[in-house]
Amino acid sequence: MTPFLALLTASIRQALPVRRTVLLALLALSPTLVYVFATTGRTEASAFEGAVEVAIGTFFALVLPIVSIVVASGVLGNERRDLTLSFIALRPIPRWAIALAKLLAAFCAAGALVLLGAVVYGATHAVRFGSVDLLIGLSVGALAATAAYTAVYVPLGFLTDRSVIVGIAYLIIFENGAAFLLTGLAALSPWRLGLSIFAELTDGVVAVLDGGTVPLNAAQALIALSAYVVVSLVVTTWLLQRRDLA
Amino acid sequence: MTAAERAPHGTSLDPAFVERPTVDVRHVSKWFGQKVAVSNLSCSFGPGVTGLLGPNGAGKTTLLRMIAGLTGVSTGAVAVLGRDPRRDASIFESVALVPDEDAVYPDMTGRRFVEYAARLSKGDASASAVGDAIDAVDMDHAANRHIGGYSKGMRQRIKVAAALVSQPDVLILDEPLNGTDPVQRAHLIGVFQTLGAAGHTVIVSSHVLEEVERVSTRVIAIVDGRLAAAGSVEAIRAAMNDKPYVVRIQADRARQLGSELFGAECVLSVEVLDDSLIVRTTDIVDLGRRVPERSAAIGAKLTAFQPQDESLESVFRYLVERT
Repeated sequence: MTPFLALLTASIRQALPVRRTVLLALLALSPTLVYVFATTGRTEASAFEGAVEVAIGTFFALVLPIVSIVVASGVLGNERRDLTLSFIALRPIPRWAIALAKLLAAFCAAGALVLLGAVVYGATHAVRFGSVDLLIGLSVGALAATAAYTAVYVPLGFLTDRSVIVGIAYLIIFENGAAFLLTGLAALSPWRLGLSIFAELTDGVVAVLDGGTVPLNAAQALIALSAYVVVSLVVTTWLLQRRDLA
Repeated sequence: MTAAERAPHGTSLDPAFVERPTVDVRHVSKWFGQKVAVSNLSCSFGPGVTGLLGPNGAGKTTLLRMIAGLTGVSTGAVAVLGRDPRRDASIFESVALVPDEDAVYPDMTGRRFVEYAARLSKGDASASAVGDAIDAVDMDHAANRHIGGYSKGMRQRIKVAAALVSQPDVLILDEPLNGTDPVQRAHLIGVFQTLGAAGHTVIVSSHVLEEVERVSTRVIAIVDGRLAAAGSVEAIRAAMNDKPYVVRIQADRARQLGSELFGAECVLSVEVLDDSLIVRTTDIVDLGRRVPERSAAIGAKLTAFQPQDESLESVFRYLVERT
C-alpha cells in the first residue's frame, strides 16, 4: 500500500467514528420519512412533484450541507487540534498529496452518507410508483453538491475551530436567505450546483421548481464544481505548507 | 556576540558546530507575534547523540520543530541532510521527530500505530519490522492494546517505536524521557546511545541536566531562545561550576564565622545579617567543606546552609550572560 493510500484509508476511517456516523446516517435518511408522510395518498404525478419539493427543501438545502460540513470540517481540523497532523506532516508525503488525500477522504466519507440518503429516497419513490427517475439524478446531484461542500469545508476546518458553526450560519444566512432573495448569488451556492445536475438528469424537475429555472446548466455546474475542487486543493496545500503545524 | 559568531562556521574552534553536520542551523530566529522564541541561534548536529538542554520555555521545542519543518523560521535557515525541511518532504524518509506532545491516535493499537507510521514513511511495514521497532522500546506486551489506555511513559515509547520503524538517519526527540519510570528511562537511553554509536544523528532535548549527561556526550544549551553554551558535557559542567553562588549560612556565631570564611580563596564576599551570613562563592563544593570545618574550629553551632540561587534556570541565565 502506498503512503497516499494508507493516508486516504485511515482518514476515511477517522472521518466516520461509529456514533457520529449513525447520527449522520439517520439525518441523511430523514428526508425519505418526510417524503413518505408528505405524499401519502397522492397520485403518481402529484407524488413526484412532492418528492422533488421535499428533495430540494430538506435533502439538498438542509441535510446534505449539514452532513458534508460536519464530516469535512473534522478531516483536517480535528487532526490539527489533536496534533496528529504533525505526525502526518513528518512523513515523506508532499503537502499537495496530503491535501488531496484529505479532500478525497472527506468526499468519500460524506459522500457515502449522502448517497445512502439519496439512494433510499429514490428507491422509496421507485418502489411506490415503479419509476426510477429520481434515483440517478438525485444521487449524482447529491454527490456533486457534497464534493463542493467538502472542497470548501476541509480547508475551513483547518483554519478555524468553529467551522461547523460558521457552516450552519452560512447555510442559514447565505444559502437559504440571501441566495433565495438575490437569484444572481444562487450560482455560488454548492447545493444549487447539485440541484442543477439533478434537474438536468431528471425529467420534470425544472417544471416543479419555483420560476421554472435552475441557476446553472449541467456543464456550467461541472465547471463550477471543478473550480471548487481545484481552488480548494491549492488553498489546502498552501495552508499546509505555510502554516505552522503545531 | 554569540558563540556562533565568535568563530567561522564549520570550524572545529566553535563547540556549537560539528565538522560533518547533518543538521545545520544558521542565524535562526523565530517569533510568535511579540514573543521571541528563538533568537539568532546558530549550531549544528552530526552523527552521535547530542543533548539539547534548556529550561522549560527556552525555545527547545520551537528549534526542534523548525529543524523538522513543522514550524517555519522567521529569519535564518535550517538545512537537514543538505535540504530545506519545509520544502522537501522526501527528507522524511531519513528524518524522524518524536514530539513532546501526544500526537497519537487513541483508537489505534500500538502495533497498528507503528505499522501506520511505517506505511506513511515508505518504510518496511512487515510484521517483523514493526515487531522489531516495538521490541526495541520494550512495548511488546502492550502493543495490541489501544493507545488511549496507555500511560504517559508507554505513549512516549510507542512514539519512539513509530520513529524507529523507518530507520531514520536523523532522529529528533523532544523530551522523550518525560513520564517514563527509571527502568524505562534507562532502556530508552540505551536505545538512543546504540543509534548514536551506529552513526545516526540523535538529538535529545531535556530540561534536566542529569538526563542529558546520561544520554549524550555533546550538549547544546539554550535559554531564552539563545545559545547559552555548547560542547562536551564536562565543559558545560565546568562552565556551570564557574557560576558564583549565593549561600545563606545560619550559625550562632555568625559574625565570627564570617571573619573566618572571608579570607578563603573560594569566597568572593561575606555579608553579615544578625544570626546569618550571605556568602558569594565561586566554588560551592569547597565552601561546603570549609563551613563545617571553621564552625567546629570556633565552636559555632551551624543550623543552615542554603544555596539561594541554585535553580537550573539561574545557571542557564548565567551561561547566557557570559556569552
